[in-house]
Formats: sequence, structure tokens, C-alpha cells
Amino acid sequence: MTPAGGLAHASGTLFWEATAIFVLGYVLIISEKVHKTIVAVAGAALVLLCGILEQREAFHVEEFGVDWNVIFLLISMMVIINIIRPTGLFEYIAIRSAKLGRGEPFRILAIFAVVTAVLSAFLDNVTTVLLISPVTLLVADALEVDPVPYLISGALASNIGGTATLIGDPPNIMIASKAQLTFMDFVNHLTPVIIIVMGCYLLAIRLLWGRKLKTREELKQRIMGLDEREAIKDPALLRTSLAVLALVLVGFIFHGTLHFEPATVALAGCALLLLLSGTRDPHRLLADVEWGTIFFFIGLFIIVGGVVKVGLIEMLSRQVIALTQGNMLGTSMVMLWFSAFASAIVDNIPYVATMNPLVVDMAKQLWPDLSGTALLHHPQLMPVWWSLALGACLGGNGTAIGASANVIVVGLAQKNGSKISFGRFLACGLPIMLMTVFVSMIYIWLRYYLLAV
Amino acid sequence: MKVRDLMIVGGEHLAPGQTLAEAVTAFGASPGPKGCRGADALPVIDERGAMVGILSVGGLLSSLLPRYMSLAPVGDFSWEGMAEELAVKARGRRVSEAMATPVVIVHADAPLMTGLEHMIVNGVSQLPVVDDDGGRVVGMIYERDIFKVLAELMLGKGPGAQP
Repeated sequence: MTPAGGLAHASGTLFWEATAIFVLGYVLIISEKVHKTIVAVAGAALVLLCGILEQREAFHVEEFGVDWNVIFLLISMMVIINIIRPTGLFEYIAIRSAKLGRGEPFRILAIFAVVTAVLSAFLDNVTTVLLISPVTLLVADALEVDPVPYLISGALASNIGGTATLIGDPPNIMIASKAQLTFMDFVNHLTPVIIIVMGCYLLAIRLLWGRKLKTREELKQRIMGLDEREAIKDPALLRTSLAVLALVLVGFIFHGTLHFEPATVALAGCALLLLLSGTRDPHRLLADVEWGTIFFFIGLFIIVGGVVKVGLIEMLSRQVIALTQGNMLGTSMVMLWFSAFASAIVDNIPYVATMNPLVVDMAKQLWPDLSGTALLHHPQLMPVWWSLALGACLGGNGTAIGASANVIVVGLAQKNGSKISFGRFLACGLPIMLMTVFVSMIYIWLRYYLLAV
Repeated sequence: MKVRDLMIVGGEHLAPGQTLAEAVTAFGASPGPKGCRGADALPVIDERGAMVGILSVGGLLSSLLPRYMSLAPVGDFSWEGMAEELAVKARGRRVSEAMATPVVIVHADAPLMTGLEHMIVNGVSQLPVVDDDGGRVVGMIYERDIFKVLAELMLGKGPGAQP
């Protein structure tokens, strides 16, 4: 046992056991031979059974165990959406957007992209895509145009938009919790670059699909004939929901100043909406939480906690420092591009779950005298967090399996009889991913290194 | 009364590879509930003689609906001529894509009650009737025909009625 970096190192056997569970778990998750939730839960059970982590550490120690801030933020937001969904708000927004596009296929595609991105910044990406895609399919049907560009663009835009805020994409939620960053930190640092990226994205899809999407005049009238007001099923609940959503948003904006964790804000919003919705059947609303995803997170946190405790992550972070030789611009760039390519292949949730403690360990070695937020918010470390967030979120656009939203649209297309092959997604997704990460790279270099603001 | 006493015989069979247009022709050429022309449902039988599904009028119509309609409440949004267009588009689609599986069946010698119960529990209005050995389809039994018999009894008419 050699104490190093303040961590008590485990014996050799435990090191290899934890590493084996981690590697095997990730291989199984990538291979999709076993459902990822089952892999994560089984891995977590093994970590506990092998004595790599004590149960107390897995459940109650922030450094090694489950990040309940992430878990409760996710659950609360899911319940809020489950309450709002039946009001018809999302269908209303989508039909309204299509009419705003005056039936022009590309205008509608672009407006949908912006709406999807904005919604994704506040909702989970998969939820957004699931809510908007049915209407985009309807619109494509009405205009007799290929629905595939609309579906692919929905996924890409939701991954881009989700990057903009703390609550937009799970990697950001995880990074925020680990690095103790606030909602406004994300708004100040990521939202500006995402607005630029989104502008570039609109130009890119104009080149990609602008000329191909054509329709006839009389078909445009079909869109203009739709009445979005018919979508609203429960106006009273909708008003309540919008008021609570606005409150939650205000809560997020001020959570840093008020010293509330984001999960507290979301939980309070969820409780308030449950109370005001007058539901007599909370069971159904709670049952619709994506428990598979929640347990995937729980399991992953414990598996990663295992390799943190035995020192594997610390070992890897030493390698990263050796590689970049403490050059922080280099570290940011490597972090950005490596995260992007890794997330295009691997689910970005396990990737960020692993990188989070690695970044913390790296910081501990670079600035051994610092701790707490002085360490986590070291001016030279901040661009590394932003690079991780940008790379992990935007990288998901690279392939059809890079992000959950992509998997969902490919599945939706298949069900509706228009197949999106792996190659077809790649042909749109990869250039978009490279472009967006490139823009992010320029932003990081310009803002944090050249101008240093 | 047995299922056999009410079943309709002489309907055509569909093959999974047939088109919906061919299925519609077969519907028209098969007998429906007593006194009606045109079947409400036909069994789908593969080349080995096994029943692999059932195509009903309801099943055929719901297969016309775009899938996204089941994913979100967008059913209120449609345009003039949409249903007609969907029907034309679905002409060449295969029976195997529209049929319902697994098939709820009833034996010819089962009591009428069994047939009724199977329909109600499974939410269908007709069942293929199979013979006791091997499960060969011998006919169809319709909810409407069961209703006619039971309605007579309610009115105090028909066999075994108690006024």
C-alpha cells in the first residue's frame, strides 16, 4: 500500500479487480450484447461484492459513490416533463413553427432545428426529439418530402442545443456537479459558443439540404391549414406548467447566488407542479421516469468510483499530464478533440463519468496546495472543463450511435419506413461534428488563451 | 350451443406475402357475418399450412395510419384527402406487415361462452375457428352472430328461451 496524492492505494488484487470490472463493463456497453443498464447495475454490485468500495462509500461518499445531485436533477426534470407532455404544448410549438415556415420545406427544417435546439437546452435531448419528431414526420408527409433530413437534423440540433446549458445534456449535469459550476457559469461560457455553432449549423444544413427539399404550392396550403390551437388539450394545466417552468428557470439562474444545488431547484419545481397539477395518480407520472437511464447512472457512478478508489484514474491522469507536459492549452485541445471522437463512438455518459474524476485528479497533481473550489475553479482548469463539455456533447453528433437522440431518430425512421443507414447518418453527422468542434476549438483558444477573458 | 353452430365457413385464406390490394379482393370474395357479404377478417396461412396471423378490417385500416400518429397526439392534424392518399400508398404493402399476431383462436367444439370470452378479453370482434386435431382453420365466428343469438334470448325468443 503506497499512499499517493492523498489517496490510500488499494492492494494489487483490488486494483486489477476494479480495472477488470470497469474495462469489461465498458466493452459490454459498447458491444450492446447486454443492455447497458444491466451491465452498469451488475458492475456496481460486483464492485461492492469484491469489497472495492464499501456500501457506505458507494452511497454516501461524494468522491467514490453515486452523485445524487445528478440523479435527482434528472428524475425531477423527467417528472416535470411527464406532467407537461399531455397538455399538448410541444405539438403546439411544433405546428406553430411549421406555419411560421410558411410551408417552405427548408425554412421549416431550419426553424425546427432552432426550436429543437432551444427546447433541448432546457429538456433532455431524447425527450425533445421524441416530442418534436412525430410532428416533423407529419409535416414531411404533408409536403411530400423526404423525412430523413428532418429527423437527422432534429437529432443534431438537439445535441448542439443541449450543450448550451447545465441542464441541457447529462454530461453537463455531471460536469456541473463534479466541478461545482452553476447554471449561470454554463450560460456565460457555453451558451455564446453554442449560438455561434448553431448559426454555422444552419449554414451547413443549407448547403446539405437547401436545394434538395422542394414541394408544390398546393401542398404548402396543407401546412397553413393546420390549426395549432387544436393541440392544446388542457389549457389550465398548461398555464400552471408554464408558470412553474418559469419559476424553475429563475431558480436555476439564481441557484448559485442562493446557494441551492440545481437538484434542489428541480426537486422543488417538480414538487410544486405535482401539487398544482391536482393529479390523483402520482404513481403513473413517477413510473414514466426513465428508470433504465437512472439506474445506468447509478451503476456507472459506482463502477467509476471503484477505479477512482484503487488509483487507476489517478494513474491515467498522470499519463495525461506526462503527455501534455502541463501545457494547459494543449490539454484543453486534446480534451476537446479526444472527447469529441470518444463520444462519437462511446455513450458520452460513461465517458464523462470517467473523465470527471480524471480531470479532478489531474488538477490535484498540478496544484497540490489547493482544494475545494479554489482547485476545481482554477482559472487554468476552467477551459479544460468547457472543452470536456463541448467535446462530449458535440461529439455525439458524429455517428448514429454517438448520442441517445441519434439512436431514437434512427429507430423512428425505421418504424416509419424510411431507413437511415449508419453511413447516411455518418455522411451528415461527421462533417457537422467536425465543423462544430472546430468552431468550439477556435472559441476556446480565442476566449481563454488569446484574449484570456 | 357450440362455436361450430355459429361459425361461418367458406372464407378465403390470405398468404403473408400477398399485397393489401389482394387482401381486399379476398375480403370481398369471402362471406361475412350471417347475411352479410364481405368478410371482416381472414386468417393468414403460410406455405406450410400454419396460421401465422389474422388480418381484420380494423387491422388493415390501422395499418394505414402513419406510425408517428401513435407516438404523439398529432391525430387532430390532417388535411383534406389524407386518408384516401394513405390507402392508395398502402396498396402494395404486404399482408404480413398489417396482420395481427399472435392469433387468438377458438375450437369448433368449444362452448359459445368460450368464444365470447376470448373476444371480450382480447378486444376483437371475430375469431378464427380451428378443428380439434391439428388446428386447421375451418371457419370464422363473429361477435355480431353471437349477439344475434343472445339478443333473441333476451327478447324471450329462440331455442331454450324462458318467457
